[in-house]
Amino acid sequence: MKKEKFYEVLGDLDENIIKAAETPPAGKPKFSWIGYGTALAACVALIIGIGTLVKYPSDNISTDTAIQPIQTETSPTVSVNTFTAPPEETSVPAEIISSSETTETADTSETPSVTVSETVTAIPTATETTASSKTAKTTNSGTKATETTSSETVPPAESTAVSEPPAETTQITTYLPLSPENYISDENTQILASAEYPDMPNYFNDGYDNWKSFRNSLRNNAERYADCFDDFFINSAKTFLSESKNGNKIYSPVSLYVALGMCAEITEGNTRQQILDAISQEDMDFLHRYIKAVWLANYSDDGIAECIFADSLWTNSDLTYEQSTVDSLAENYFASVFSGNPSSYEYNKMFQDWVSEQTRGIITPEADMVMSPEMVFTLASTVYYSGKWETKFPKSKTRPAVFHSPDGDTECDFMNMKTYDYYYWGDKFAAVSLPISCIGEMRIILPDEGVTPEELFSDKQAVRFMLVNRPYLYSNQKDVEINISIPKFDVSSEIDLEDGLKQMGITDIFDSSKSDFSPITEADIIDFNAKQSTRVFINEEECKAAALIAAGTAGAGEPDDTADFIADRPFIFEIVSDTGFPLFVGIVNNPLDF
Amino acid sequence: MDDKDIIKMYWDRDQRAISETSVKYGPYCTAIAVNILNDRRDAEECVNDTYVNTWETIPPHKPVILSAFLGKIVRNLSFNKFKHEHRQKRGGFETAIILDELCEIVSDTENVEDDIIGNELSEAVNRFISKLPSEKQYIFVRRYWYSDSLKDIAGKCSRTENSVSVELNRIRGKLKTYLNERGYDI
Repeated sequence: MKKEKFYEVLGDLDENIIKAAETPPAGKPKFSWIGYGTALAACVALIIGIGTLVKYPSDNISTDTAIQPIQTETSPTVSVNTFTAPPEETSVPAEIISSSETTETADTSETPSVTVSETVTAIPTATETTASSKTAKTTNSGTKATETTSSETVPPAESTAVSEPPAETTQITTYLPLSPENYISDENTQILASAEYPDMPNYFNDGYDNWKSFRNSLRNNAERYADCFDDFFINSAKTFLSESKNGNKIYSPVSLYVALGMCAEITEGNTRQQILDAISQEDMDFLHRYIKAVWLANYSDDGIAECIFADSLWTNSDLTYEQSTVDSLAENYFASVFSGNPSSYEYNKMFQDWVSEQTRGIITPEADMVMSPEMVFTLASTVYYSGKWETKFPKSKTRPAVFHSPDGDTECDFMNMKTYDYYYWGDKFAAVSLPISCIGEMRIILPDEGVTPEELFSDKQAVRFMLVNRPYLYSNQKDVEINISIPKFDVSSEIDLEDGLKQMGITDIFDSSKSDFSPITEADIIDFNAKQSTRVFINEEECKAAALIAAGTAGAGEPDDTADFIADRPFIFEIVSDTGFPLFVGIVNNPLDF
Repeated sequence: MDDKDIIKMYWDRDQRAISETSVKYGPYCTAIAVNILNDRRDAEECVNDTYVNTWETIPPHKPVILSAFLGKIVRNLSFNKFKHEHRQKRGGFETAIILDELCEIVSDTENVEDDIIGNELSEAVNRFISKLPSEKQYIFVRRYWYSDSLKDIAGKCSRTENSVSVELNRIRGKLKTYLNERGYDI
């Protein structure tokens, strides 16, 4: 029979059946998953520009200083204040401790008095190095600081504003955790602009048609956006996941992409071009439309699931910023804009609260995630994702079992399920896709024995599977009965992005002699940090049963009618939005290594 | 207005029946036609033809379920238009995909007895579908009667497109087996 004829035969269905299909089945159990299982992920990407708030009155440096230090009239001084994380073994009192360091100075007689304060936040191990390099840079303007001595305690408010006698000293300020007494009061802390998020109809309360109509309206521009993302996804995944070093490594390509887009917004010239090249964008106009499309197409806050992007710009109230750029960030990146004194408790608290709130507490900033007094700007980009498994993992089937980590075998809880679904395979891997209600899916990609997860980022088939918008469009698939067994995991990772971004060709932004931040501020940016913190966990309620699951191995190749998919060795997971956009990707080497 | 009142207007040859039908079932018919044709102008043309066709068939018909009655007419008209347009390679991309999916059930070759077994086959399909669990039935009918996209069905079922695709694949396989076991080698 011709297919057209059969289509016509189907047209003669019983009218009661047709009528019944006018509305979804009543009492459909798809929303009774509360408590069954959860997939949660959150990510925050921080881009921090730190600069000199004080300008040197020398020929080669602009004198249009945003704020001026209180300077001693006669003593030529160089003072570098740097927040550093306290050593773990050291108990630090709740106050700022300054250690003034005597410098061996050559030819300071002609050097004007200068106070420079610099802060590196939340990267304690990098602080000393950074401080050193900054000191060297500072002294290039006329003073050579080579050696340090002495220490004293000063109030934090003064540490940024007062030149410390005696002359020829470098002052090192030790960081303390965020608490009100450590910081100055700041009445100027304020929100300059709040991003307006779409007010999505609630799936349950506002009617399906309204919900669907609104959701479709958010996705009008999303037709080709996934295509632009492919090269960036592969390059960045290879770069940031290539060396997991037996630990877990996760990152959010979409969060990084948006953060880099914001960086392109605030830079100019070759600095910007390098970023645009890395994210495969032709120009700023297209970038704006693209970011908006990505943002809107993936946004979800409708009572079923959440996928929430949030961006923000944290400015220094003592500096001036180019308003048009600030406006563009707010408009094109849905960025909220804040202003305040980075030395103030209120401002730091607001910053930490913002990160915590946008990630729904999944990422709670450590107390040392504080802003530098010398912070010129901080860009923060977060992604929060929360959904429920479409098909629950039965709690009664959860079993402890052995996971073969590169560091040795470890026992952890495995969620088990028998399902009828597509099973995917390539020459070097097997994979399944676990649907998450109304918001996407998690793809679990298990390398064959002897293949590392990192290798799969260079495997064409695996890459194809990771990039395909819908897994059923991937060629090697079969609808079979699958025994799925995957470990519950709660993994996190923090990546210092600098090296990776440099590998991707973004170098100027980290080089103060080449970086061009003129679109956002005229202030000198002498240090630039970029890092990303990500956390992903999947779970369901714990089961007390204690029996090992049957040993089995998923292997490449077409399965028969049934297949075992047992992720008991390092694997890749990928959380993909329901528009086919890779939101999170990571390598789990040890499910218990948080 | 109640369906009974609208149908009575048709029987009374009251032309307001058409406008009342349009108000109540216009969007419903248009959605079906757009699904099949993927062209709003063509769809509106089919919907208008549906009203005319309905006017001409009631009486003598007295539909029990007016929406399904109208739906069948607009589905037939739209599909006829699709076949015509498809020969000219215009529109109906989703419908072409749906037809390809149906190739998993039928051979897609012409047999002389196809027209003869048409009604019988229709009954068998009805029996099969009526035995499906309500959600599977819903998914199948939305796809192959209403011609909804996978995305739309996924949204209505709070599933992913992938799982809807899996479900349909499974139902097609079962329907083929069901029909083969009953002697329909189609």
